[in-house]
Formats: sequence, structure tokens, C-alpha cells
Amino acid sequence: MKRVAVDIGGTFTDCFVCWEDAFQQTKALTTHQNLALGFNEALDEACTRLGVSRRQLLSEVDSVRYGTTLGTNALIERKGPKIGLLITQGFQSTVPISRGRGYAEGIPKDQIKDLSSATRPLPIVPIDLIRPVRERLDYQGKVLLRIDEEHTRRQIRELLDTGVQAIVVTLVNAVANPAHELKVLELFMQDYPPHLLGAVPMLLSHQVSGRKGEYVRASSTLIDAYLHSTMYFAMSSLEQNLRDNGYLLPMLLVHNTGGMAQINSTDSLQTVHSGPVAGIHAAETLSRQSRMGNLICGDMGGTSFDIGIVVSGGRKFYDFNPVVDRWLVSIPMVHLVSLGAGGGSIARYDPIFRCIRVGPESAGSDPGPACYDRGGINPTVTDADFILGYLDGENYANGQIKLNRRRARGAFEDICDALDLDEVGAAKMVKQLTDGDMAAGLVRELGSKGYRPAEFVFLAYGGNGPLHACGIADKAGIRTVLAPPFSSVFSACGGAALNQMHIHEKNVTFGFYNKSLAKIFTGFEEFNAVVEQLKQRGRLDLLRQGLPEEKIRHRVELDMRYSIQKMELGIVIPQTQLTSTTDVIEIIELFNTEFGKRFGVDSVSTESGVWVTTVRVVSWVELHSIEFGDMHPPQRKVATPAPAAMRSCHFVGYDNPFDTPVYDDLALAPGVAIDGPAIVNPGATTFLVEPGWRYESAVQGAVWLFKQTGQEKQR
Amino acid sequence: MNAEILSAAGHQATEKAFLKANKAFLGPDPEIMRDHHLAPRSAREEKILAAVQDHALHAELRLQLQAALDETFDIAEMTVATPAAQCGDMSTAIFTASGDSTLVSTRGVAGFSVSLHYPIRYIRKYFENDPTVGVHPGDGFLINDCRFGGIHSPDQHLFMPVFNGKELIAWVCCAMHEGEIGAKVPGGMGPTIESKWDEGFKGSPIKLVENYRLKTDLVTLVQNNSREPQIILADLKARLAACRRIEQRIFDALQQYGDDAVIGFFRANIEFVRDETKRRIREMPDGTVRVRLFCDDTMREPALMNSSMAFTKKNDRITLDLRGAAPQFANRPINSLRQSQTVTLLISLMHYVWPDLPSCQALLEQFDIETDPGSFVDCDQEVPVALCMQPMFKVITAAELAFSKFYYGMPKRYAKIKAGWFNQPQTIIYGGLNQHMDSVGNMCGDLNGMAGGAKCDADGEHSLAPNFGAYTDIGEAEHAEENLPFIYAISKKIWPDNCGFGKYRGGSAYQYGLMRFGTQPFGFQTFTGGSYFPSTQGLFGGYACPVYAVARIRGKNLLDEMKAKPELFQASMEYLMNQRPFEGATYEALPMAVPFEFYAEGELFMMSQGAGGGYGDVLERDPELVMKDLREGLISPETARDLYCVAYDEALMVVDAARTVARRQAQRQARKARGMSWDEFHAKKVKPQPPDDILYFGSWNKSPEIYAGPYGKGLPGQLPPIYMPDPMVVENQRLQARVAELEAQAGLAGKP
Repeated sequence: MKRVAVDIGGTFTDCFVCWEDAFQQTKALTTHQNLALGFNEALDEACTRLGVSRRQLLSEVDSVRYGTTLGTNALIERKGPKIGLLITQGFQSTVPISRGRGYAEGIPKDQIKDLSSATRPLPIVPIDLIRPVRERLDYQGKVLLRIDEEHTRRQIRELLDTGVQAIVVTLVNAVANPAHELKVLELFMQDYPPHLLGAVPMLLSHQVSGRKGEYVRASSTLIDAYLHSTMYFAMSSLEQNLRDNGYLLPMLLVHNTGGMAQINSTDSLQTVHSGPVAGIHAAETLSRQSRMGNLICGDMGGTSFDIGIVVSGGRKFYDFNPVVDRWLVSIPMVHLVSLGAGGGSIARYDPIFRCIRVGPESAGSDPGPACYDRGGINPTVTDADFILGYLDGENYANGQIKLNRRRARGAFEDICDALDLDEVGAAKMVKQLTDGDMAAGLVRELGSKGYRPAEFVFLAYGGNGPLHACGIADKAGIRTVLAPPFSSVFSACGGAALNQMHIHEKNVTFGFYNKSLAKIFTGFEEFNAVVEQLKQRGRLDLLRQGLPEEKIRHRVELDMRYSIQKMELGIVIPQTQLTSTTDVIEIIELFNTEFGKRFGVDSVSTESGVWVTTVRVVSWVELHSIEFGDMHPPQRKVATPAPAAMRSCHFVGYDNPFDTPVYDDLALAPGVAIDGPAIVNPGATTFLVEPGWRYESAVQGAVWLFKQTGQEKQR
Repeated sequence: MNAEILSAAGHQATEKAFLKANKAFLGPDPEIMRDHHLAPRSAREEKILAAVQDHALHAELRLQLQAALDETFDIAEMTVATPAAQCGDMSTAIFTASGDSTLVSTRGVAGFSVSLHYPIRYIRKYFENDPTVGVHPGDGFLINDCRFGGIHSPDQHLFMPVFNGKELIAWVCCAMHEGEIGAKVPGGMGPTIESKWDEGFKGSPIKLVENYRLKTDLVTLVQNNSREPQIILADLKARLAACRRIEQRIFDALQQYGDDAVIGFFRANIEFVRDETKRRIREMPDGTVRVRLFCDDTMREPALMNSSMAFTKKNDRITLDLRGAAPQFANRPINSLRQSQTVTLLISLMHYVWPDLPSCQALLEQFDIETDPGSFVDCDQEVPVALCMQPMFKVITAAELAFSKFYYGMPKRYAKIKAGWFNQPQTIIYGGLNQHMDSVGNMCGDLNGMAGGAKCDADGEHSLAPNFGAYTDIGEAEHAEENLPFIYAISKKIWPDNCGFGKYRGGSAYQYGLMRFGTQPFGFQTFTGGSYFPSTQGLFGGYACPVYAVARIRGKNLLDEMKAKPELFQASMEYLMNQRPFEGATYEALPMAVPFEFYAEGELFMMSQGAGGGYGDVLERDPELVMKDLREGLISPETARDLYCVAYDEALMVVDAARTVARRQAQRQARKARGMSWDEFHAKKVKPQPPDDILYFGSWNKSPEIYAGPYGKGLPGQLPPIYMPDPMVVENQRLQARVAELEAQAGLAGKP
């Protein structure tokens, strides 16, 4: 298999190349002015290592896959067009009010309850660019007030006169009946056909999100429209770059649903967070191939700690109302939580509780931690790690950054004065609280899905993941850590493992058990028709991209809830057609079992009725995946190499420093086992083996860390 | 002599024991209910905290347990059934063994939880050693009667003791607004509740859970007292699951950190907060800040009820003085208990004064509260309190404004100086049969759409959150319509001039209207004041919010009209009420407390959420911001021109700077011309007694006497029970008098 996968981040462009049995991982700085430059640089390095030209490589690969945070960044930087919104009359303030809660989406938790300072983010659509449409449908889609066509034409004209560059249409209950939204589009196309100069796109909410909830559907469509042109131009120029260099197939974009598709089959909203989501997919592939069971993924970089969950059996967790930047939206997205904790997180003295608080402010990469000696003056997690002896000041990041110890110590002065501690004591406290914060995040994520940490392996990747893995796992009650292969480009690696996949869903109201009428659902024909319609949409998407029909697979998922609750669970059902009430009862039982497992059997409320609110069909074509090999540490151990150096390191919970062996890349040979404390620093990544932990290396540079029991330690 | 004393003491003890053993009703305990202070350290806590404390360990535990509470909140919000809690009107918390709250979930209504030390202390005092009740691992207690703790009866809370082996080390709770509790009207609240016996189920602390299982007989009892038995069951399950989850997290912490660390942290966290508030109060200047506020509706008739208060700061303590408030009403639901004022003060401190500190009861430790017993802010146990929010929410506003003034001269502030948040629970309560033929009775999530007050450096936020909770949810109309037999004919529409004006304007709020959809019996009611006297205030010259009315269109099926003549319908309250486009329909504007009635299909019930107060002088508002408000429909052209004194080109919407300066200058001169000296003001404006044409309750000027409307006046404690006449009877009498008058005019007097 020959394949290229790229993850374009805010700082680095990560590249992963599969070339038959060889894997190459390279990095280059992201070139925001022209993304192709960074991509070419990373790719050229891989080509050099493989001994092929860029043109040869690109002409032979089966696909080039992009995951990117470009959309997220565009949103944060507010780089987007002027957008107008047409919404059902009487609902004009729906978007500005953002269900009230909008002020708190995406802000640090400790700022939420300060109502005195509560402020909403800058709007994507200002109030004066929101216009009413005189129409109304009821919840079943029946017309209550027919659309006023002349009035609608006037509203469109007024919006265009203000200079809007895109128009979003959100009409209430459009997912039950899209006729009115389609009518608005028809009127728009009649008056402003696309061949005319100055034509602007019009996006309909029911086409972006198939779910009820007029606010979240509107915000989804607005963000989609806002990112549309940025993503289109950036991705098109990347595709053109590929074509200029010999790649003749369509470029594939990674989706935040865990699948991917060509540019012409991608909503811009589907690309948001697609990079980190690809990392979760890599974890899933790893888990499946090595039968590793449950994984909790933690990607700790410079500014954030992204958490995802993979459970055995390969079931993904979706958020149906994820938060994108500061907005609640309505699309299925692989569940991913980002905490504001990374190497650059700034530590400060907390006078109330007389200790240290870490983050959410970050020194980022510019100026970065104080020890980078680039002008940063605030103490960060990386400064603490350096003071504690974990980092090699001369060879940090493959020697690209020289660390300055004096700067790191100086940055801690204020904290030391306030706490009457020396730098080491303060740095220990930073490490303790950073690990504690991230552990609390892991436990919370698992708990909210109904799991216990002890049932999971912690998959630690990203620049700082393997460095803090033992500390986080210890506090979370996790006994096993895996730093995966290719951990520094793990998300790009995930992109290489993806299938071409599309998800289509439809909002429904199927009472699988109507307790008021004591009736089991019998509308099989209607249900089956919905499934077939969604399968057909998925099939067409894949056929349009040239994939063979016989290879197309479908999976049917239902979002179900007890009739009086909000909690919806996605259930994969074994059937694609319903034929009897036995099928329905089986599905209800499946739902009950899953619900009870996650939220306690006492919470199962079948007696209140069971509804299906969404039917979702996942359509995909299974493609060749990358083969990680068996990740388990080999039974047969090899001799531990001699340490490259010894270093005095300080650890939380121990008063005195340890004279700690430091190993180089020789320790990555499969079968090496080392008891902590130890440091393994093969170049780009630092593995910290804390006291009480044991290091074992496996194939492809994977590293396991095991918490040892008292007996194991004695042995 | 000593023997005599000993003997007397012995008699007293015997007498006390006899009376205790022969008490007919173990009612609310004033000793508990009137004490909002922290319990002293227990011997266990004393021993642990005598050692040097590890602050980093406490910070770690705080992170971990706070995460547990937030996680539990998120799950509970999704698994509860009552609409209010689904919109975030709930909270989760951990308490010490003595019952002091130590950590509360970040989101939602922390006030529910921080008022639960009362029932916990009650249980410990009366039930713990009672062999018929006891407190054991796996027990859970339900409470909803605020006379034993909590805020008002529609809130139901479940709390559980947490044991480490045999030692009681903590309590945990999941508290929420349940809504439907079988009161006289759906939703547990309403203007026509005129007796505590109209309030529905009144749960004193009751052990509903044993061995971690709900007791079916007692659950059935609670369900039997509600119009929504299925929701009651689902919510009890969700609460129990939430409490168990928090308990498990505490067990995890005990295992990881040990007993002393966890128990020590629970207490230390409280003491941290207490000590820090003490320090911050000491930083503030000594002095008194007074806030003048009034409730304006007993819920059955307009009346002006004094809710003014004063905050006096001296050294490291603050006294909240609520004396002079209106007397309690024997047959109106707007009374509130004394502890309710402490809860709302605490709410204000959490969200507007010290939001950076953990939410817990210790924030109140440096406060003393003075009231007139028998007033509507310190009522007795026998009067109805279902709508106690009326006087309670005034405390939130008063504290917001008072602390803004205290903060004004301080170099270090812990929250932003700002005008008053809107403070009325302006939502529609519904009840009846829904389209799925289920019995329902609850309130719309629009309650959470109160607007924020203007800040000292920015405009207030439009409809954002209730003044008593954070990160709650207003919800989506499409979701509501799937389960309830109405359509949001108007859902969220900000309308002009619905904001407190000022240099920075308060947040605007939206209007909304529910149109009945379907023919099953189903109705609406509302229960707020603020129709006659602005309920919240501006700051430093900023304007107050407007006053509000309910509007309704009845007697015609507007759904038919919309089909037949779609051009007649516009989703705008002011259009519909001013233009009256549907011939034959009845158009009414009513005060904001509208009793429950069924509505026929196609009838429309409309209202508006309330705005935040303004900050600073309107003449200092940047003219460009005025134009922006105008473009966004937040203000009318008249307001821009006459109030903000901005001159602009109406076609181009461009400010005429020179003319604006001139207008503003002229306005300032006019103000000066209208001005008067302090003495002149007193002589002309200060009246010796309330106006005769206003039903007035409470103190007037500096007199200690309390006016009591038709009952005259008297000193606190000396007034008779205030029973207001039934408005229907009053109306009937008025009509009869009118009939008699007309008969007399027609020469029909005395004839059959």
C-alpha cells in the first residue's frame, strides 16, 4: 500500500507516508500563507528518506488524505465572509440569544458562574443581517402559514443590498418538511441565477443538519457558510498543488465523523477538529488490530489536552451537539474534549487556596515557556518539567530548541516567594496539579460515558503525552499506559487508516413503545423507507466518488431516548429492516442494556415510553488500512542498553532527588524493559518512567508503561 | 441553695424531656432554620486540621471532586424528565458530615444545594437516633417543603449520607426544580395559591431510599401527589443515580488519598472560603448602602410593597437589614421565609460579587441578617410561600447594586461593577393534556431568558440566564412543540426599547407567544410582578427596566385565520395588539400575574422577558452605539432622538455629530433648570405618608411603623393577619353596585 496522510495544525504540518512496508513520519512548520509549501516540505523530507522524487511518490500513492484544523483557526480568528440569515418570523433573535447558554460554550469552567462578566462571543451574523420569512410549519411538517413569496424576495434583496456574501436559511420544523426552505432557494435562484456575476451561495439548514432544534441547526449552517469559502479556496489550492506534482486522483478530506470524502462531498463544518478525530481513529485501528480493549486517548500538546474514548468492539462515541469554538452545533462528531492544559500552560500563585493554579492561559509557541529563551517570562508546565530534570536542555525537540535553566528558575520567583518554596518544590506542585487536572478530565470523560478508569489503557501521545503519562494515569487510577507508534504524528497516521464514509441522518418521531397507548411500534414500512432513503444518499455519495457499488457497506444506527428524557443514546442495530414487533422489542432491550450499563440500571425508564428520534445510516467502503503489527510488548526481553547519561530528577511524592538513568533511542528496541525511575529520550519525544512504573518497548517504537504492584516491585 | 438550684434544674430537664416525648408534630425547627452559619469543627475535623495542611493536595481534591459534581450534573440534566431541570435548573453538591455545603456543581442553580444544610441538620437532630428512621449507608432523603429548607415547594431535592465504614463523613445531593407537585394549579406555582394547603405536596425530610433503592410505597405516595407521576418517578431515579455517582467518587478519593485527607479537605475548603471573604470584606470601606426596591403585585391585586434594604459594612462583617418590609399576607403566595433571603443573598455573592470563590454556604459566614418577624421577608410557617421569589429576587438585585457601590472605590474587585440583572421569573406555566394524551404541568424554559445589567465598561447581554443560575438553557421551540400542544407563534424576538438605557445599556429581552394547537384541555398562567413599578434598577444614572404586561388574543381560532388570510398574521406582539387584525377576536393586556385558565385552539398568549438595568448617563452614550442599537431594532427612533439626544440622517442612518452635541448640551441645561436644592427637594417631594390611591405595605420614610394597606398601620409584630379580599368578590361587588346605580337611574331600584 502506498499512501500519504497529512495533518495541518496551527503550528506544524505532520506528514505520514506509507510506502509498501515502510512508514515515514515527518514534520514541517505550517505555512499559513500557502499551505502547500509546508506540505511540500514535509513530503520532500519523507521522499528523501525513501529515495523517491515528490512526483514519483504522488503519482504512485492510492490517496492523499488531509486532516486539518484550518476551519477551527478561521473561526477563532473570525476570518470569514459577511453572512445574512433568513429565519422564520418571530424567531429573529434565536441566534443572537443562543439559548442563553451561548455565553458559556467553550470557555473555561471557572469562568462560567461569573455572570457579572458574562459576554457572548462576537456574532457570526450580526443582528441587523437577520431577516424574517413569513411562514410556519407545525412539528409534523404541516403548513400552518404558507410562505409569503413576495415578502421573502424582498428580504433576500435587502440582504444582498447590504453586501452579504452568503445567505443561510433556517425555517422552523424544516427537518420535518423542507418544502419552505426549498421554496426560498427556488425564489433565490429565480431572481439571482448562479451564472450572474455576484452570485452568492445560499445554504439550507435541513441540508446541513437533519435534526430538530432551530438554534443549533441555524448555528451549524452559519458556521458551515462562514467556513465555506476559506476551506474551499485552501483545499482547492492544495489539490491543485497535488495535481501539479503528478497526483491525478481526487484529494480526500478527513471528516470529524471519523470518515473522509472528496472535497465536492464535504461540508466545511465536517472538517472542524478533523485532525484530532483522525488520531482517535488511529487509536481505534490500533486497538482492533492488537485486541487491546478499551483505550482512553490523551493528546497532550503545547496548549491543550485532547481526550477521546475508544471502547473494544470499535464503537465510536459521537457528540450530537458538539461545541465548535464558542458555538453549540448540531452534527454528529466523534466525541472529543479539549482541556486547556499543555506544556505551555502558565502556572500562577492562587492566593485564595495558597497553592498554584495551572492554565488555562498558555504561553503558546510564541513566546513559549520561559526556558525557550524567546521572551517568555511566565512559568509554564514545560519550565517545571525542565527544573525537575526530565528534559535535556541541549537536545530538546531533537536539539532544535536549547533550554535556558536560568530563565526557567527566574520565572518561578514570584511563586516561590508566595509559597515559601524553592523552585523544585514549586515545580513539583505544578506537575502534581497539572497531572491532577488532566486526570480529573479523563475520569470525568469516562464517568460521563458510564465507564471506570481501571477498565482502560491510557493511550498517551502528542509532544507532552509520554512525559506526563505516568503522573496522569496514577491520579486517574489507570495502571497501563501505551505511547503508540508514530506518536508525534499520530493524527496524520490516523488519517491513513480511514475509510471513505458518509453519514446521513433523519429526524423522526417513532414511538417504539408508546406507554400512553400501551402500544409497540408497527410502522415498519415507514421506518424501512427512511432507512432506504438514507442508504441511497450514502450510496450516491460513494458512487459519485467512483467507488464500486458492490463494496459499499451500510450500518443503521438509531438515537433513542425514554420519552420524557433528553438523554439520547446512539444504538447500532443488527437489522437494516424491521419486520415485526419482536425486532422492535429487541432494539428496546438493546437500548435498555446500553443505558443501564452507562447510567446505572436504576436509571432505565422503559415504563415512561421509548422513542426513536433519529435514524442514521453510515455508508462506507472498506479500504486497505495501515498495519501496525502486534503492539503488545514481546514476551522475550532483550538486554537493557546502557544509559546514555545519569541525571538528578525530582518526583512528586519524594523528598529527595533520584539519580536517574537517561536512555537514548537504543531503548526503543522491542523487548527492552526498564524499571522506573528512568528517562528515555530518543529525540522528538521524552518518555518519563516515574518511580513505581515499568517501561517495556514494543514494535514500531511503541512504548508501554505499567504501574507496578508492591510484589512486582519487590521482584 | 445549690440543692435548690439543682432541684429546679432537674425539674426543668424532666419537663423538657416530657414535652419532647409528647410532641404532637415534629415541625420545622426555628433553631435550625434561623441559623445560616457554619457548624463548628467536629472533633474529627479538629484533629485532622490541627496538623499542617497540604494545600496542593486540597487543590487536587478540589479539582477531582468538582469534576465529579460537574460530570454528575451533566448526566442528571440529560436523564431527568422535568422540563425545568432539563434546562439546567438543578445542582449537585457535597456537604460535610455536619451539613455545610463544601462544593457545588459549576453549572445550574447552586442556590438549591446551598440551602440544604437545614434539612441535613434537622435529620441529624431528630432522625439520626430515632430507631424508626435512622441514618444508614444507602439511605436517601427527599425534601420539598421549604419550611424545612430549600427555596419553595416545587423544588425537590434528594440527598444521601456518605459513610466510610461506620463513620458518617459527608452528604451528597442532587437538587432541582421539579415543578408539578399537585398544587391547586399545574406547575406548583400560581397567583391563585392562597393558603399553604394550596401548595400541593409538602415533603418534610422523608427517607425515600434504603439500601440504595427507592421505596415503592413512598415513591407511590409522592407520585400520587402530582399530575405527572411518570415524571416524578423518572426524576427520582435520576437523582438517586446522581447521588450514587457522587458517593462513588468520594469513595474513590478515600481510597486514593485516605480518610483524613478527604474529610480534612471538606472542612478546609469551607474555612478557606470563610477566611477569604472575611479578608475581602475587611478591604471594603466601612459604610451603609441602601437600595430602594418594591414588589408591585400581590399576584391578585396591584399593591406597592416595600422591599428596600440596607447593607452595612463594619470591619469584617456585613449586616443586611430587611426591616421595614411589607407585612406577610395570610392569603397571598408572595411571602418568603427568612432563610430564603439568606439563600438569595448567597446566590448574589456567588454570581455577582465573588464568583471566583467556590460556591458554598461559607460565603455567608460574615453576614448578619436583620428582619421583622411576620414580614413578607420573614414570614411564619402558616402562610403560603409558593411565589416567594417575588421578595427573594429583590435581595439578589439589592446585593448586585450594593456591592457595585462598595466596589466602586476599591482598587481590587472580584467581579465587574454592573447594573441590576432582570429579576422576575417571567415564564408561562402550562398544564393539561398534551398531544400524546399525557398529563403535563410545568413551565417554559423561557424563564432562563432574563437579560443582564449593563456593565461599567460594556452593554449588558441580551436574555442570557436567570439571575439565580449560570449556564442554564432556554431550550428550543422545535423540541417543546413535539411534546406540548402549542406552537411558538412568536419565539424569540427582541423588540424596541426593551432595555435599561444608559451610557451602557442593559441587555434586551425577547417577546414570545404560545398559540394553542389541538383541542384537548390545556391552559396557561403567569406569576410575576413588575407591571407597575420597574422590578430592577439601573446604576449611576442608568435607567431601570421597563414594566411589562401579558397580552392575549382569544375568542377566535387564529390557526384558521392564518390559513384563510395569511397576510393578517405577523409574529409581533405590538403589531397584533395595536393593529388588532383578526376581526371578532378579543384583545387584552393584563398585569403579569394571570391565573390559570384553559385556552381554546388558536388562542394566543403572549409576554416578554425582562431587560437589564442601564449604567451611567444616557447623554454619555457613544452616538455610534445608539445608531447600532437603532439598526438592530433595540431602540426606537424616538428613544434615539429624545432620550439619547442623538441627531442623525434618517435615510443614511449617519450621526450628525455637531447637532448631537448641541442637543445634548441643551438637554443638560434643561436638567439644570429642573434641578432643585436638597432642602427644596425634601420640602416638595418627600411626603409624610404613602399616597391614598396606592395600596401600600411596609415602612414609610424613617418611621418604624408598618403600613398594612386596608389594615392601617402598626409596629412590627402588632399587625393583625392581613387577609386580602378575593378579587372576584370585589369585582362582583363593584358590578352589583353599578347595577344598583343603573337601576336607580332607571327608576328600577327595589323592584324585582
